[in-house]
Amino acid sequence: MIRKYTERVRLIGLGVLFGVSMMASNLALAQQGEYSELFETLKPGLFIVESVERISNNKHSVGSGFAVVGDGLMATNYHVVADAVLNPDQYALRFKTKDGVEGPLELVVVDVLYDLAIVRAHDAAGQAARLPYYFSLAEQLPVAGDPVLALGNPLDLGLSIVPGTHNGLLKRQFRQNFHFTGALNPGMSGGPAVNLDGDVIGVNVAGAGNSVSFLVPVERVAALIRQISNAPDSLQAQRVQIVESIRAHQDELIDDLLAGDWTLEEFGPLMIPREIQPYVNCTGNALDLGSDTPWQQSTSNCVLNDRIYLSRQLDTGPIEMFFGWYHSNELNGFQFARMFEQNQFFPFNRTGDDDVTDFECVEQWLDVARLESVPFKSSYCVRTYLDYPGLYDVLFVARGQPEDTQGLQAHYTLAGVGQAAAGRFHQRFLDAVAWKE
Amino acid sequence: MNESVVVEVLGTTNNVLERKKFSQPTIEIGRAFSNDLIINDEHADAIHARLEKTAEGQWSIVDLDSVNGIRRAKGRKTIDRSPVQSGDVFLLGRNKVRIFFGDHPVAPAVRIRWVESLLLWLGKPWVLIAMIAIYVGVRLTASYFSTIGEFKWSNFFSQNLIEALWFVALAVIVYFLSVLFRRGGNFMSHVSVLVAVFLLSALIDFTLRVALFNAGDARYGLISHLDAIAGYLIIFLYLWSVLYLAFHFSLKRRTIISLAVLGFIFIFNVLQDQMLSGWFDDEGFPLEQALLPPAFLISEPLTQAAFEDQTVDLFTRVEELRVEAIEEREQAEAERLGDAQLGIDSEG
Repeated sequence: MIRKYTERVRLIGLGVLFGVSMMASNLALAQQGEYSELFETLKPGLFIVESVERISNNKHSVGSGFAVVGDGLMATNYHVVADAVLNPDQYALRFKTKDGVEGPLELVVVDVLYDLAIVRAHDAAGQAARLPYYFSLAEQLPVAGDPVLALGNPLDLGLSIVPGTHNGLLKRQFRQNFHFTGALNPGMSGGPAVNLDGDVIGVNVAGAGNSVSFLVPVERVAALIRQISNAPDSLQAQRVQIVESIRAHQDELIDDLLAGDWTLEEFGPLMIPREIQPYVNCTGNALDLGSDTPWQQSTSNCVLNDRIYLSRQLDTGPIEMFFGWYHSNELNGFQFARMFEQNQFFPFNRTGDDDVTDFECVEQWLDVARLESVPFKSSYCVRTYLDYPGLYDVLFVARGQPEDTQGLQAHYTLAGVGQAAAGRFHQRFLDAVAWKE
Repeated sequence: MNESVVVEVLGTTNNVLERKKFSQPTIEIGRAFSNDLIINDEHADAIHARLEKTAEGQWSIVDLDSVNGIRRAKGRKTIDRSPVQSGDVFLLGRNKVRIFFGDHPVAPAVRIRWVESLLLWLGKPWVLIAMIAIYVGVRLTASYFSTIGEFKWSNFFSQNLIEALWFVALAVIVYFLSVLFRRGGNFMSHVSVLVAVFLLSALIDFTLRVALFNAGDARYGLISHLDAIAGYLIIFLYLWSVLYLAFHFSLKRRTIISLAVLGFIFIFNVLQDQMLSGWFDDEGFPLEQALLPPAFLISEPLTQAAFEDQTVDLFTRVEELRVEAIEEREQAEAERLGDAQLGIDSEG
């Protein structure tokens, strides 16, 4: 029975390979023979992972997965299986091969931080499925420039192979992913990326367009596999563990930020921190608004846009630090104040209607110890996540005017942090800013 | 006993059109020029009625066989002859006639209140001109201060023309109403009152803005209530003044009418808020972020520690919100399941 199953997979695989090679680059064409042999070997360990609407039995979302260790265990992305974690009454998971062999999947363990999940495939008898091929994880990490093959089910068109190049770790991330130059499309999420030996070096996670794509390093998969033995025994426990892992991670992130390089740099009449860690990305500076605008502004915007996927409409994790210096020779005090107050700020992360509470805010005049003699109208807003207790989004903005037509805005946004970490960051943020000597 | 008698001809709203005093014992009333009191109305007979004093000094009204007869103001039956009490109103054809005896008591004189003399003073041409000048000045200043970029006269006019037209239109409407009710409108006073009320409201707005600028979030609720109260106060003042200027209602009456209109507006606003609250759930940040030049800051800023103390409460508050939202969601879910169950049952 198993043999028959693998033959059918192979047959479908050939057809798919033909389709890919038609679209692939010159490089891929030149090496077609080489890849097709490898693809043939790997294909039996490759699966389509679907979340299925229980009532209609229609597929709701489609991704990829690959067999990793015995007992029918597959690795995929958390965002591929998230619907079934969040709404188990509504969605079920199933795996599928292109020839129509399918079976249910059971969630084993997840890592929301690196967007990974391990699921177990079941056969018709309800036993752990015996999968025909298991991928091995690469022991040696690739170096930049190495060829990498990404496997998956792009746009639900069928199992495919995408050749590309490994470009090392991404520097602008706290949780570093591999930079993969090759086209990852929706549906390939959760599929493996392998070296030319067929060993997994990472997991497809996201594409940023124009062949800029990201892979979760394989060591995260290995770490998750090690957790299987003490995996949560219920979805409820799974969710508790998700919240715990985010909070612990965000605490670690905040502490890492606080321990960073807070050397102050000149900014208007101020000294402010800039790239406190390599993964914080600062942009802005002097912004020329043109001669029509009767005021001048300089901004410094430092962002850690490292999001944690929670659901289709909810993510968390990004952090933003903003300074704005505004001044004018043309406006009078009233006009300036009016311009200055129109500078609004918004939360950074994506949320749906029922994911978070409303913001609760404090707005007061504040004396910042190191910026004495100028009071700041300061707003501090907090909201929390309905399903992720103990995590908060915090927004702070302070506006002060040393002169009638000078304005200073200091602002930060934290998403998905604990209360104590938020407090520590607030303290550090206010202590970091100073007037230029 | 009643040496003299006063006969008044009344208009539709019981306003006095003509008032005549007689001391003879018989008074003839009708359209003919021979009468003591001439009524200029085709429904009145040439010699319609006679008032006569009996030997005992009692006055009576006598119908002189007129076409349309005499009725009491609140009666259907025509009268041939009827005794008259001071203050009685009779209908002669379609004309209201009121009869007072010379010793009829009158209400004590109402002292002119300073507010009322102020309202009349506002009607003086130079006051009106000054008010309009101040209004234009305030509007110009406000427009200039709120323009970021080049100030354009055309923008100023287009922004303020409609408001100015509203003022004029309102004044004209009230003027015509007052003419309609035969009180004689006090047009200039009315325009002045409109402008004065506007200036007062602008002053209150600015004061509240300064308060908002200085205040912390704990005071925002109070300021917003004050803002609402100020709005109602302005409407009350305007109505109250107009009712005096254009309609000469008594103090008590115009106060009651103004309050009634205010109550109506209040209920309308409350209902509207309730109806809209379902539509605009997303209120965003409960912040004001109102700024003014730093010179307007008189309140004392908090220290960092005091500010942080206040932020700690926020975490507790959103935790409460979270619990509430989850309860709501579970309730909605239970209702949804209940409905589904019901659906199956009814189908079964």
